[in-house]
Amino acid sequence: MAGQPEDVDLDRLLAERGDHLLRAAIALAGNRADGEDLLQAAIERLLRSRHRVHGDLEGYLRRILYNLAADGWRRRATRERKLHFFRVRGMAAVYGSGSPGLPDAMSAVDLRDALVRLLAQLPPQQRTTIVLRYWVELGEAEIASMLGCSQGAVKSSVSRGMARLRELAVSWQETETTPRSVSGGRS
Amino acid sequence: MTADLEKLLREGLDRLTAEAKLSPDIVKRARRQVIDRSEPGAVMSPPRHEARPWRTRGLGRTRLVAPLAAATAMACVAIAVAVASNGGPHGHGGAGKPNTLPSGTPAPRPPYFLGIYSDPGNDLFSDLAVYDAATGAVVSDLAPRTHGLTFTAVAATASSTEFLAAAEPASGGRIGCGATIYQVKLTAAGRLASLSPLPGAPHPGYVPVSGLQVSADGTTLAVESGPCYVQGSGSFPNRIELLGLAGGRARRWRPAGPTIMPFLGSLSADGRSLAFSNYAGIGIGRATNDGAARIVRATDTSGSLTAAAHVVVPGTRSPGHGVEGVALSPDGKVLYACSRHAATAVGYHYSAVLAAYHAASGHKIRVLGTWNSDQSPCLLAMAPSGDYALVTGLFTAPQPYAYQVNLSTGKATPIGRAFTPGRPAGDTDPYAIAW
Repeated sequence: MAGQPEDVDLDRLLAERGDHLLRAAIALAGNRADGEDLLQAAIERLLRSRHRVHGDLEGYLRRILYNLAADGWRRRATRERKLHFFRVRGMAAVYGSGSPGLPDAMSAVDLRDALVRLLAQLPPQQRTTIVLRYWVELGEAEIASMLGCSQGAVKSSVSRGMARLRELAVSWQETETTPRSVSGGRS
Repeated sequence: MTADLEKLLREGLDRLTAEAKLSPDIVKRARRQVIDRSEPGAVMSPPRHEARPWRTRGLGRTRLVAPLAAATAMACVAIAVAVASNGGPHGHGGAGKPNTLPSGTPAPRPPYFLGIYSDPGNDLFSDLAVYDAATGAVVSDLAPRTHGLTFTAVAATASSTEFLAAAEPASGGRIGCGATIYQVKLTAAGRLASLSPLPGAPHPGYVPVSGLQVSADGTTLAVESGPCYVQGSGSFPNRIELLGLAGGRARRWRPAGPTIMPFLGSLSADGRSLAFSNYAGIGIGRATNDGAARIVRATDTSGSLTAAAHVVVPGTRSPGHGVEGVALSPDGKVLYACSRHAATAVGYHYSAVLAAYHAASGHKIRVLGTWNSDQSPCLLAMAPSGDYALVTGLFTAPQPYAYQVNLSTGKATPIGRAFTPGRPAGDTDPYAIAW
């Protein structure tokens, strides 16, 4: 590990590009804490296969990062579902909202922040392709190459994800602009 | 609309990622994980999430069936042995034996805390782990010895190596339909010594136990419960009751008015005062939680929890702003409350504030700590001695995950995140704790 010649390249990469990689990880994961964990997991995986990696180290690390995100790496969702097992989960049923984002949805934030939180409710593949397409600004072919799938699959994933995000955004706006009416008990 | 949505999303992600700086700790932790996994004797588990194209994902599931079945069989045998060695199963709480909960002078700062974490591989299961109270590290993961049970609540006793836990088999997509209260005994090294149904524990009947506390004198249980949880549907706590372990006496309150979903906080040492909170802004019908912290006395006779209790920390009814975790000092005179407020720094969603209040008057004595956080809620667990508290659930990078707070001086000592060799970071972060 430390002290091996390869680490010089990795250390340089992380020193020069670490903040950019972390920003991508945060965007993919949906928050800072998960983003750090995601990047850590990607670095860990890179370290384990370090002897096989030559050339474009950043490209390799990004590929791991994107695939981890698309592969449903995010464990926070599960943790939060369980955290709110009896609590927010029940409230989600009352409000008709997904539990992972419920505390956030309750906050009075503007639509931009809300979209980021609503994005977290999409399946990992859709979330990842949307972030790569519209935030990292990769082309569909590039995303397909990174994730090892067809261009059509990427196109379809982005399209379905954006449609769902739009639905969620409309629903969120309605909730925010009209008095909240809640009705009885569990769903 | 689409163009607007893309633009707004891009701006939102820009805001989210602004000011992100890579901490050297992330790289250090990644290296440590690699070293831990390559050490002889380290817990080895296949990466749960392979970084491979999604078209091929799911193929591994078939290959895992046989090992999983074998592991399940072995775990069942282990459970059976553990239960048998403690006198055999007693159904829901045993055959009327007197309780054996410890009492006496508790340690000021117990070395371990017990936590419940989610099994990332199975949405229905939650497992138990023992954590080092000074470092946050997982001392022992009890999952291999509790397989088949899902845990829903934990409580500390006066002994630093004995805890209570509510658990039940999770099957058919249902949880909370018939929990048993277990006694969890640890060795001095923090390993599981035994797990057995608590002798003499009365069975509340409906028992979806979502919160559990025991008085320091070992005589009284407080149980928060609600309707049976069915996967895909909602559930929420809708009653709190006190159960006498010796006499079986029960005092039950149902909430009403501004406390429609009570969340059990803690019980005084004598079992006579009980503190609880609720999540602000959540409602059913025409009622809405107010986010206040309250205390109820066991002697109060009103059937409504809200009428019986008095408010210590007023609520706001504002969603996302209110008390989330409460703990009573052993003498019941001071209430510690962890509340959620707006963040005080850019890049965070919330701030968590730990403060002490006079239980009788509600007068704020002092603020013990403020931490910006990405997540909520703030979990609070007090050592039975009342000298220290653990504040966890902050999930804030780059700050530590949790703090150990000296309640006399207010000094907050950061403790690390719950790392387990061979498991991804954060996998064993607890969502319920007892210290």
